[in-house]
Amino acid sequence: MKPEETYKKLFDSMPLATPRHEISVSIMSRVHKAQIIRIRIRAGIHTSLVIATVSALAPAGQQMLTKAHNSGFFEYASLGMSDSASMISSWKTYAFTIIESAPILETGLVLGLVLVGAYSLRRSASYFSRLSREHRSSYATA
Amino acid sequence: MIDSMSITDEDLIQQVKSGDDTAYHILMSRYMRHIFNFILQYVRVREEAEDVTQDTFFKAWKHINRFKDGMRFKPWLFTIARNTALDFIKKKKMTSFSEIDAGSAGTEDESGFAESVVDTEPLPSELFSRAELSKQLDNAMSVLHPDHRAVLIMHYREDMTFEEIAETLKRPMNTVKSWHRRSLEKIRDSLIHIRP
Repeated sequence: MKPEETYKKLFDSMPLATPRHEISVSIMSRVHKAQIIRIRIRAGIHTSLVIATVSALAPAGQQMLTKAHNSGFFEYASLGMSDSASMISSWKTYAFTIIESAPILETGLVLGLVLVGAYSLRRSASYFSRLSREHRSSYATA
Repeated sequence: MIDSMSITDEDLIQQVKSGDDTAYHILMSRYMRHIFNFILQYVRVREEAEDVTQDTFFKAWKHINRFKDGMRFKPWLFTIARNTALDFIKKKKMTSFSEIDAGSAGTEDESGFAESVVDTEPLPSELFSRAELSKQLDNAMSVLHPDHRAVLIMHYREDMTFEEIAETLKRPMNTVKSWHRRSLEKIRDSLIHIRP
């Protein structure tokens, strides 16, 4: 027998100790509690983000409308609707004017807020639903 | 329903990452006994080893997102177990820190050392007929450094390669090989010198 094999045989002769079954239960209970805390924190963060974005949306939207109004964007847009023939004949000038008068930064900000808000809303809804599932399973286990 | 036998560790980890506690329970059941016996090599008291085992599995769950694709789960988990056991010993001051410190386990540059020494001799066959062999082995193991004991357990009980052990202990492979060889020599000496 090779030396390696004799030592393998030697160590195989050592009985393997078995931990108490309660250890697994205790670990899973700790994991479960930590899971709930983790979900609560994440749900809190995303809910705060939803509130923040909704609160920021009103002034950002107001700012976008004011800028569009002041730059004459609405007038140019309504001109395009009412007098489409002249718009088509000088479409390059029209397109340039529309782009120049459009409140691009403000619109970008509003869109960004809408996207972040929608994402956070989805996430917080999913966290709250997970939280209620976790609580239900806790009650079932108890 | 998860088929616990056929599913790989990596697949289970993916499920744990997506919040599946059942997958973690399966993973834990798979390694519970191995980790417990490994921790017993550091923390020699059963009840304390159970506490450290709990902490190990909880830490592994907590940091499961740090486990990246391409990593091997077993060495990763054993590394957490070792660190948790060493932290526990430090806190308890059961053993002086210097003993646990890798310095005393032999951190000198041992490159080439493992290759330069002759292989350990085989154990005499009559040794295996002893009634109290496992107890004698346990006594012989108890005088070894915890990391050296862990090397033997990982290699012979867990069938881990020296590469995996080196990864677990965060030591060069040659150091691990020389710890392994020295420990075997000590064990062989003490078993042979015990009268049956």
